[in-house]
Amino acid sequence: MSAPVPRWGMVIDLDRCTGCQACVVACQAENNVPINTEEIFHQNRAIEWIRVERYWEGEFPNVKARYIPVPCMQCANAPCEPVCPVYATMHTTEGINMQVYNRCIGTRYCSVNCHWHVRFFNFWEPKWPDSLKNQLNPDVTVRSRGIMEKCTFCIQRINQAERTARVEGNRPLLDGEVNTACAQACPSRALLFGNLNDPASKVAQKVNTTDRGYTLLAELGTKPAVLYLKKVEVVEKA
Amino acid sequence: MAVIHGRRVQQTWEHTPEEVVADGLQRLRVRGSSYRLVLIISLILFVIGAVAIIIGPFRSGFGNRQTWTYVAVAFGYLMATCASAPCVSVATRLARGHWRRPVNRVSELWAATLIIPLILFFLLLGLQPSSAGRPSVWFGWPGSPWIWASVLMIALVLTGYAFLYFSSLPDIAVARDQLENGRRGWFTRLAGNWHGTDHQWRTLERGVSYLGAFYVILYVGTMTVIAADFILSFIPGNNSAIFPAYYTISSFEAGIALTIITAAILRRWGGAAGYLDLDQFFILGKLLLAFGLLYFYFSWTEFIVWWYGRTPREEALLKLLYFETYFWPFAIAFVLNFVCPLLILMWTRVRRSITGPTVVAILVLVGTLFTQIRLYSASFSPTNIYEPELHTIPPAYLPGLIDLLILAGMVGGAVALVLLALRVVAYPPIWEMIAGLRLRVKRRYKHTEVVVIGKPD
Amino acid sequence: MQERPRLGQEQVTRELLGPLFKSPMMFWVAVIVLGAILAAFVFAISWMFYWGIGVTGINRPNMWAFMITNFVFWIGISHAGVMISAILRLTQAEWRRPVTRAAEVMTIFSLMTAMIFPFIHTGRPWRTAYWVFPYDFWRNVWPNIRSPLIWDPSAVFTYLTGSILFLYVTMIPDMALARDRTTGWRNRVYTVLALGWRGSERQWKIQTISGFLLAAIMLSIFVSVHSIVSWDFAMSLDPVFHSTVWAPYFVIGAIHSGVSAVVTLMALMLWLFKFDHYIRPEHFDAIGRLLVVVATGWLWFFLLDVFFDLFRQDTADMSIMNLRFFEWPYNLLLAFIFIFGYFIPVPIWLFRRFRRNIKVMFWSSLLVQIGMWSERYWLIVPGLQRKYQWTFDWVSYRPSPVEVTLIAGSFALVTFLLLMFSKIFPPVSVWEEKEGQQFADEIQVGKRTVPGIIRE
Repeated sequence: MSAPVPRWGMVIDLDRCTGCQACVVACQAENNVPINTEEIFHQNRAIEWIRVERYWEGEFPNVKARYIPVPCMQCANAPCEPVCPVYATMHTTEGINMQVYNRCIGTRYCSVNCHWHVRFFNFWEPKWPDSLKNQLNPDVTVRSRGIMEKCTFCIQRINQAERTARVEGNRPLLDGEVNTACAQACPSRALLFGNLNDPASKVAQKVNTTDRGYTLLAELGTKPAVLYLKKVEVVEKA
Repeated sequence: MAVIHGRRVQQTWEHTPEEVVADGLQRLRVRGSSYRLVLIISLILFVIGAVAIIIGPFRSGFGNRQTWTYVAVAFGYLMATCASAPCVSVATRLARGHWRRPVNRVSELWAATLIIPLILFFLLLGLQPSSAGRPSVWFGWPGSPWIWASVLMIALVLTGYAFLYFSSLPDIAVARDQLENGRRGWFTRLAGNWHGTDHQWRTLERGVSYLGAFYVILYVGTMTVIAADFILSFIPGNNSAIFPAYYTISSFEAGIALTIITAAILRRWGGAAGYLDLDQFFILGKLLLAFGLLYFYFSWTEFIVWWYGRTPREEALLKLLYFETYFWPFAIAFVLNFVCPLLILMWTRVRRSITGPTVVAILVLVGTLFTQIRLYSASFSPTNIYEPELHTIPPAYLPGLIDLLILAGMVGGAVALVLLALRVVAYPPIWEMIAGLRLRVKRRYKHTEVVVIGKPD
Repeated sequence: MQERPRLGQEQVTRELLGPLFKSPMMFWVAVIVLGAILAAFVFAISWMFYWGIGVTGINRPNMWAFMITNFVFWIGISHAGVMISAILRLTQAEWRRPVTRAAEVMTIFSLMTAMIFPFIHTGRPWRTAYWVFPYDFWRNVWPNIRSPLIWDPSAVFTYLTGSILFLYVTMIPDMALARDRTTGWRNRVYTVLALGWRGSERQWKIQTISGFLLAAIMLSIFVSVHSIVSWDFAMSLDPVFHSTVWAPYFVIGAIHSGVSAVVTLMALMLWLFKFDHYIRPEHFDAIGRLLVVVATGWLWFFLLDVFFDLFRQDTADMSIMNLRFFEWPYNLLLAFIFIFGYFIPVPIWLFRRFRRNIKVMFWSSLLVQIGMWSERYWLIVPGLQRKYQWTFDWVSYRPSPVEVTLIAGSFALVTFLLLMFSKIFPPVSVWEEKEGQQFADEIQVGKRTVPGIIRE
């Protein structure tokens, strides 16, 4: 019996996020993302498939730091998809908004029409120091210059798990069998990844039970697959 | 009708100046019985419409916007047709062709009706809430939206009447000088001391062109403001920037259609067959076709951007204005304003006829009516205009008897005013025609005879 | 009143074919200067191909900037050709005669130049070259027809093909004329291009009809091209880009800048080739009057766009409008748009005296170009800098020297191509001038003599 097609999704609990950037580093290592040197960062061309945005709230001395990790929202109605002239970005049946590196010609239209700023352009040929060359993940393509790249929800891990499941008698995937690098690395378990179509999965239960959930830029109606849980404010009693 | 080289030759430029004067004066002297009949019918309609406004919307007060829907439709329809017709005259004057001369007066006549939209406008102004706290193009200017829109509207109406007056002043003077004693009264008063001196002519020509240009600018401005204040800001979430342009352009189309129909009526019943002929209908038909295409272009650009955007705000607007609530008015208007003009007028042979452009013009006027119904019904039904986007789409508003009476009455009033204006303003336009005749000479050219048209710088 | 010279047939031919055979001193100076800029242009493109898009000032989220602005600008200029030729031909305006050829040629060259930019602007141009034009259907990956970037090359290519056909059809009689008056390689070229034109009645009829038909078809393409260019932006959900008015707004802006460019070109041709008999003040007068109307229409759309961006008081829109209105350098550009695009030139054009002064027309039309280039930059670049509430990623943009070189090079390229064209083909349509001479007549009204034209 074949399992229903999964719809991958993520829940990001901002109450748990400490802004430690472990997810960013984990993603960088897992997905062969080029090293963001200081120079590249100052050119505003850094590539971070998941980034942690930090905002300050309030006036000194009552300043609070707010963190929000932003991976690709994997919108069900992604605005980046219809604008690509060569179908380099398209939707998989599992709800992932994927990028086909070989097709991409680098018009950057998808980035113009992505309002979460999670599509990245390779302005230069990526380089790694010799010491890091053996660290590259063999399951992930190294992107050349001139093309777009973006968060894939670690599609290499999903494919691996699905292949294993198929080999083992076409069994359905278990919850927790696939995890993204960022969710795996998160020390405070702020990121939760899983199959939204499996009502038993942790992520689906969270989505169905929470009353703190919201999506980013919901007014655009793109149906993101990433749900944020808003921070619980500590109210001090007077 | 003369036929040369197998082609029908137009009579327009075969008159002598004396004939033109005699023709024009004759129309001022004699009016047929059908004229009186139509005048009386339209006046009665107007009275019924006025009564309907009082017992319908007026009694229910200014709090309930929806009951005023058809007052707004009537207003919008008159603005789109009668008020835009003089713009056709201005545009053709600007292009400096001679074919336009018999047409100008036809479209300018409709400026006489501007008082009716003005009155309706003041009634509708009572429905406008303050512009504070809601989308508006006024951004909280003091007195907005009431004062500024009224200033524009009053200026438009005054300019319209001044334009009509100036462009017919020499003819009024002719009537003063040449009509019999018993009929002169009005003309003497209106003509002032116009004696056709060099200085007066120069002033007149400048006055007509400046007033005309000013009228078009005011018209575009007023339509922009009306579209923004009475339609866009009443539909939550609608900030379609093209809409005022669409509203204006489709009105120009209706203005051209109205000119064509008026010309056809004058030809058939007004004895103007010798002046308005194939040339005029051919070029007006071309203009109508061009504006039919523009109508499509402007509605398409609005549609495609919303369609591609797919945000909930835009989906609600598409459902309201295009696909669900007001689908039929939209579909009818689309067919009548774009599809029919395109399919019918694209054939040169159809354009070069009287019937072709006239039939299409009638269709366009009907289509314009449906456009106005769609727009004002949609904009007068949302109850909460302060929300950022349309959350629940209000059901379609269907007109009752009173609504239809209001519409018919106001159109009747406009027709009556034009008929009354014809008692003062001569048709054919005497001075325009004579100027055209002066600038036209026949010469021999090799084996044939050609016409040389003068184009003064 | 201006006296209108009556010229013999042979004189018209001699004077208008003149530039083909003799070049004024200024011509060679221009060729050398432009050649130098073009060398820099080629070097900049090669540099960018070698190192990648990194050498530009583009960053995230400003993925489209200087080059795309320039693309829109040149597409805009290219609208003059059809605007002038097709509309004026269809309405039989007499003053089109000396203008049409130059306008059509400018259309073609500015279109070609414009198309360089989206091409070199892609990350992997070599793939763009064989995947988009023409698409490689053998891989069974079809182009995504939902993408405005497929509509765009389709429209632009259609426009280019149509314009070339249109220009060529109107040039055949002149090619025959040149064929009969040249020897050597030129004769061979013109012989081929003239397609055996003998000026028979049937040939003239076919030529006229195809000219009219092409003009009518081109009109609809011409509207579609800039609309589609605007939809490259308007189809995205970016605040201020996603505006319904952009299509007609871009089109009328294109006409504004394009017709002004024709004025510039006419003045330059007049001075360079001494076409005093053909390009006369009344032509500038007529085009000036047209420009007043076009510019005012453009201003209306400009205001519509601005007002309705502010209309909803949406925070995303407001933050960009704030940038556009109050922050350097966009506040300066806004001033340029208003002052150079409208409030200096249009009041000038209102006066007949100035419309007939060629120097004034030349400089005011150049001002319009400054205003319109600023307008495109003002519209496009700020739109990406402040997308929605990601203040963390609000990044400004500055062009790099490479991009500036590319822009300068594009101006040089268009001018250079126009100069080269005038060496091979007559820059003013000879047969149309002669036809105009035949039609021109005078009539007596009272004591005055009024210029007139012959109509059937």
